[in-house]
Amino acid sequence: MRKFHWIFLATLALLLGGIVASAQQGPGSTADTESQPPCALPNPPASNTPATDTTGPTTMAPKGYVKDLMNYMMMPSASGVWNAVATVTDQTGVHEFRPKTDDDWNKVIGAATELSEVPNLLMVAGRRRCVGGAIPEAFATDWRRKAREVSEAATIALIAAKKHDADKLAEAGERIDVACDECHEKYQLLDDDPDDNNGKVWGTWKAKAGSKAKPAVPGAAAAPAAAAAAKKG
Amino acid sequence: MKQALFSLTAAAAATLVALGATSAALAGQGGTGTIVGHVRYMGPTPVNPIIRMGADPRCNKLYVGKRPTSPTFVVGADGAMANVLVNLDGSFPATPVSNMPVVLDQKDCQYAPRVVAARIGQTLEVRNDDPTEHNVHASSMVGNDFNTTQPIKSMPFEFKLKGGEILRVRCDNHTWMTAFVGIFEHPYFSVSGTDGAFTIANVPVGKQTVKAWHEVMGTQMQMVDVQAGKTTTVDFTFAPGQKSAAATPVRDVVIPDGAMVASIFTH
Repeated sequence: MRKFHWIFLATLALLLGGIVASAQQGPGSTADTESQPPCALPNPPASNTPATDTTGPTTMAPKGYVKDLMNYMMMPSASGVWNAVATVTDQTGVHEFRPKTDDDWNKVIGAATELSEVPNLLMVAGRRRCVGGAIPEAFATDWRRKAREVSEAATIALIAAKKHDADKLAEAGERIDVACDECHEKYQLLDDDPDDNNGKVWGTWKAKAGSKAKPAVPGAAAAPAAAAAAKKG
Repeated sequence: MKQALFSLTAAAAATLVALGATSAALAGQGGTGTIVGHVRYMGPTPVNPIIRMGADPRCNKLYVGKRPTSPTFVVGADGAMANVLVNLDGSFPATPVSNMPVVLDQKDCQYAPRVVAARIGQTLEVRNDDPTEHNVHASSMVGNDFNTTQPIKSMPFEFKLKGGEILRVRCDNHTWMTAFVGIFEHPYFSVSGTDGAFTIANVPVGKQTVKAWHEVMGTQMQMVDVQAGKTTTVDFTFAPGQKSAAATPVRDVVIPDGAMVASIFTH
């Protein structure tokens, strides 16, 4: 009878453990991420029950993958900032393009506003990458720091645009570029070549058998953005 | 039936003999000469657009500590201008088309060379020497359309060129990548090198129209008189504000802004 009691308790513990693990993974689980490339669909909407029943009125609910934010929000808005100030050579000579009219500046302000806010969406807990899934907790602070750096750089661009200061806008564009690169170097995974992911934050991604690639170590110091910017010139 | 076949064969043979005789007569009458020259750019140093490759970490890794720019203008300190397509304008007797392909490589997330020239019927071979996937895309009004993905370490993509034009080739994955292929009915063309020099050999004697085309600066034309066994020199100078035919004979791929960026991040 006592033996049966222990078997019952062990089975119950395993069952509860499985339920808890499953709940922690949620819809952004490893299995979801790895089984649905190219990650075309967002998380399912709360179509059968009111959203507040499951998420609460103040809880952020990430839908798109990181790549969706990059392709449809980050890239277009960053391009809006980068392309606003440019040197172009055509048949008539070398020309400096800068926003001139209020309409020109308003477009830059719109792009910079979007660019300064998109990093906040990247920081929403549970946001998943198409390859590698959600950012592991050990790297969450670093991920947020990098996202913040993009946002701060974009805010400088926003202020410059509101002041109609093209030189400052161009400087901010460089800082944005460096901040983007720094984040990509650590968190943008590729799914078909282990060497490319060496030293990056893997999350749910796994290297192929025999690969010498290693994932990033939590707490490893990252080069400050300013130093990287200086190096890039 | 046999008679009809014989007649057809005889007619074809007669045509070939006649064509051969015409070619031989043309060569015998005039012979050929060579056209050489230099292309220069005069004016403020042109500025090439910055390329931001951050969306593809494989491309970005190739330029650590560097700021890549588009090789739109390749101009030396002395003004020597590369990547200018130089060709004769007009109709010429038929000559055999080379079996050798014209190679366009994808290296360091750029096309190399930026400008190549080939004949109708010749094969364009596009290679991928990059550690990333490319997409080779050209849109044409004369049958030179293609749109194909080139994975890492894949076989070269081959395409037999069908019509004469200056064809723009692009990569949908890397929107900064552009190359131009000048396609001609005849073999009288060249592309200027980094020293600005070009050579067109075996040119039929007589008055010839030489065209020089640059993707931004447009087209210039000059008349030359080619003499048998001699070398004729013709130089071209592009300068801002100069009157050139617009640089718009290129068939461009029109992709909406949204679609262009949508394919960049795939991870």
